[in-house]
Amino acid sequence: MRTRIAITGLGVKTPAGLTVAEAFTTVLNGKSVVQHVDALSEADVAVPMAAVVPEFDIDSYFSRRERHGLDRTARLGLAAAIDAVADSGLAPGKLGVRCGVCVGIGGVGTSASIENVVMNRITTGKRLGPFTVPMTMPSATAARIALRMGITGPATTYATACASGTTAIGEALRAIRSGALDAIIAGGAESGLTPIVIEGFQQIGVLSRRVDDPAAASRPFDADRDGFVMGEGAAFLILERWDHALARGARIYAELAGYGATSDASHIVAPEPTGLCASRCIAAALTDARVDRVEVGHVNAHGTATVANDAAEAAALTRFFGPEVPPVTATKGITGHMIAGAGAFEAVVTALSVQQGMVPPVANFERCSDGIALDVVAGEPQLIGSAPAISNLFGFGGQNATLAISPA
Amino acid sequence: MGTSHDQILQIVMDTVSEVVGLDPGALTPQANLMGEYDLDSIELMEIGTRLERAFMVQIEPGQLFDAESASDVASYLYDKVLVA
Repeated sequence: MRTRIAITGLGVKTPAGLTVAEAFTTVLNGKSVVQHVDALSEADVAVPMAAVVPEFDIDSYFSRRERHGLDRTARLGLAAAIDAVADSGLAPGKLGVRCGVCVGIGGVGTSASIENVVMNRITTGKRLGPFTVPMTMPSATAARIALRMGITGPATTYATACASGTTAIGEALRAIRSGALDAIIAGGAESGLTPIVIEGFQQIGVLSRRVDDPAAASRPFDADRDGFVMGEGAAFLILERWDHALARGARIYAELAGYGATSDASHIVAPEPTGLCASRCIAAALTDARVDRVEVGHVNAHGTATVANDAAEAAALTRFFGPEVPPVTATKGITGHMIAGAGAFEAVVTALSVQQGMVPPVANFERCSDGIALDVVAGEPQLIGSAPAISNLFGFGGQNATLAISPA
Repeated sequence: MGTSHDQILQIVMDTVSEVVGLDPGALTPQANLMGEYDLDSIELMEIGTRLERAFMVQIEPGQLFDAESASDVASYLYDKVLVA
């Protein structure tokens, strides 16, 4: 019989909340937390808005000594991972060689860290500190988690742009199935709310320009959507071999049942408009999960709120499911796009939605644009009962990843 | 400028305290930095970078690694500051 994977712990540091309960409540309320950011307007950035993680008590997470080498991405990531381990009941510091770490890092956080170093170097003229390299290396968050938790199995980092968090969780599923590991801390972290990073995305034309009304800017699948809003955040899940979780009496939120991954091979930023490879990604995840399409209770869509993504994703969903696409939700209306944090947090939201049989509404959604025929959950959470769900993340470069999550 | 050895030592101690995350009162000037406080080389370099900024001098890494205690670092800086 094939190895089943249990989700036994969750931890988040997101704009929607600093705990899993708080963040999921915010998501169920369906109100965007996107806000104006003074630091960006002061730096003359044309779209000075983002979804920002509230301040939290870093003293309770990191010693004064530990925090010198931690940039904001690593702080959010490590704090979320610490919460996830605590939630799972595993003993931190003694996780050992049968445990691993899989972290998604899109690169936006890395770019922001380097931007900060360079700007500081230029404005002060002072030499770099010795923590520059250990702080800006993309693998820093994974290494920090392993260090803190005493994990001596592999600590790996995945970069598939916006899909990075999902890829990390999916690859963790494969690593546990391979038999090499019993448990993995898997998720993603990203913080890149710096002027040059934001302006870079703005120059692609993918960011919403609705700067006079930030809370209404991120509107997945809505007819009046005009782009995504950058967010920051981190989420981690504890994934465990099913019998390992049962043996220690762990609470199981849901089953991570399947993973699919494909590439569009079409364009470096634009999604392939017919959704062919994205639909194959969904098919791969559900085949892997041994779940038939008619069993799927809801879709947690990538839903960035760019005109092109949402149209291509709708095409992929219709192509795969036919006219009866299950109810669709999209978390980015609330949190903006947390890049690698997005896929990880959306896996958390999907797991809780499956566990509670309740699909959150899409913030700011009023009506579908022409040509999109989806049942988008709006206004109130929708009760759907116990059923599997999928979480899609489709990254720049046409990098697609889908997770299938089933009730425990 | 009238920077005394003791004033320099105080700044060194404060800097060591910030980097190792211990209260200044828990540190002693003669304690071996790497041995007593388990400083690694990158933390020692961080202390050096902060002291360079504080005193606006350039510190040779080799000198920093030769210094065993906060007191040694202060003596080294005292000479540098006087010369500068």
